Amino acid sequence: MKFCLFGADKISLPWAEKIQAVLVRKRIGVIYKFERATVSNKGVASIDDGKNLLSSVDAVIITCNIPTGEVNYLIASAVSNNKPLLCFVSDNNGIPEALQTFLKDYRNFGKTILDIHTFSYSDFEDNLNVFIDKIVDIILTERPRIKFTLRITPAIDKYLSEKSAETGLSKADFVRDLIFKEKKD
Amino acid sequence: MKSKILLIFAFQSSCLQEAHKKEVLHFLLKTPEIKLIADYDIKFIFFAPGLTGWKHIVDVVYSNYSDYFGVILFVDIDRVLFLSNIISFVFQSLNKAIVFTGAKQNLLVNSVDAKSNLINSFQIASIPIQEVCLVFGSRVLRPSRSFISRDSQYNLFSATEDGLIGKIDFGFTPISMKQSSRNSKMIFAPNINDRISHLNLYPFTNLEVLTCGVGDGALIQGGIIDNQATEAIHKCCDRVVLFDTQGHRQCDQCINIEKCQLEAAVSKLMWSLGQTHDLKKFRNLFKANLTGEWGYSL
Repeated sequence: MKFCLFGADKISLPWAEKIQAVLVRKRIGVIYKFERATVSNKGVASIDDGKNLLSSVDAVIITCNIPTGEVNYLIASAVSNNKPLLCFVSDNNGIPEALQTFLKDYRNFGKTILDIHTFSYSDFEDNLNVFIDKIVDIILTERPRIKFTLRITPAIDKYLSEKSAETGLSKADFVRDLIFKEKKD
Repeated sequence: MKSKILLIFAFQSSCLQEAHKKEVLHFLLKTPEIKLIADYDIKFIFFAPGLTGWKHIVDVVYSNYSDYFGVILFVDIDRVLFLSNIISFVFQSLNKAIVFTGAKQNLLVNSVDAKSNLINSFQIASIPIQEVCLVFGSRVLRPSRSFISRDSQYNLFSATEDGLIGKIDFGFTPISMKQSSRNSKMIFAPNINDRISHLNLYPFTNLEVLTCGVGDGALIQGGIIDNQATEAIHKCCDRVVLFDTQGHRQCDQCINIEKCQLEAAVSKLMWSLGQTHDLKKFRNLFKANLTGEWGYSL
């Protein structure tokens, strides 16, 4: 699992660093850019194929004092890539009206999570944890729709048949569960 | 000036144009996030083939240029290189961005890159970039140094090192941006002469073809320019550009160019011919490095 984290300005930088620490603690990969810092090598490498940076991550987190043009661009990119987004805006300034109008319209047809909060010390970590849990749930409960052929040996097939009988799951569900467990850990 | 962006969809006119327009409007309705970056007005241009069509696009851009913070042209990717090069010569000393973008598939709703290219274009048109640029995938390129690339599904164009204006990751990361004052006066030079020929000189090409009428100017690509070829060129016309040829001799009628992009050279030839009938002025104008098209002084 990989998140994109953007600390848009100096004022919100301590929040971005706090989020980074939480993500690292939860063993979630992170491509980040903080004000006056450079994009990590990993970030640069992921955009060389011309894809939108956000298409390679599972979710986006932004911290800012006031949403600037760059923040609005990232929000728009996250929405168009159907990526869950959490944006912390300083409670000194509140959420700008244009953004509030967009959120209101978006909730009428949007499929992904789009949470924009004003932040304060008291509820910050709660919001972050709720958001991360929501994303993990979405990723794990999404209906499988990509089909591909996997060639296996007779020994693996025998093993899967035994496991299927033992657990009451189909062979495909059993393999999927193994991957989910691996991803969650 | 309104802090708004003008979004122009320019397609060649066809019987399907109304359906096309409907599809674009539906696509934009389903992409409300664009308005988070900038407010915009939409214009559709269904242009006729050839020079009339190009002039139509130039006129629409010119008549709206001063009313908007930036201009985005969404065009067919087959035409984007020529069109963006022509616009680079027609509109000089810009104080805002004229962004060209497009999509791989014609049907926008199914396109994998239309939305992302359009959002990136809005981001570029909203910041103080003061030149014509191509926005495809994660690259912001200078048209005069760009060429078609097969690097990836999304980066449809690539450029020489001096043609990379910037990259897009978390936002726009500038690499080599032109700096001029936001108050600088734009130079508008719209005349274009489309009476040109582009010839490839293969080893066994009959040089008589050069005397069959090549128009007001010719771009000769490849081949060896020996005495015989030089003689044929003399009879051909007095405004000839030799592009990546070998063994060329000094001759007043020819301008030798190399290490540049074909689209930029052809566009520059058409534009330079449109500006003057005087041979000396034409040569000076063609040789001038107006948009970095030569990458070096000729």
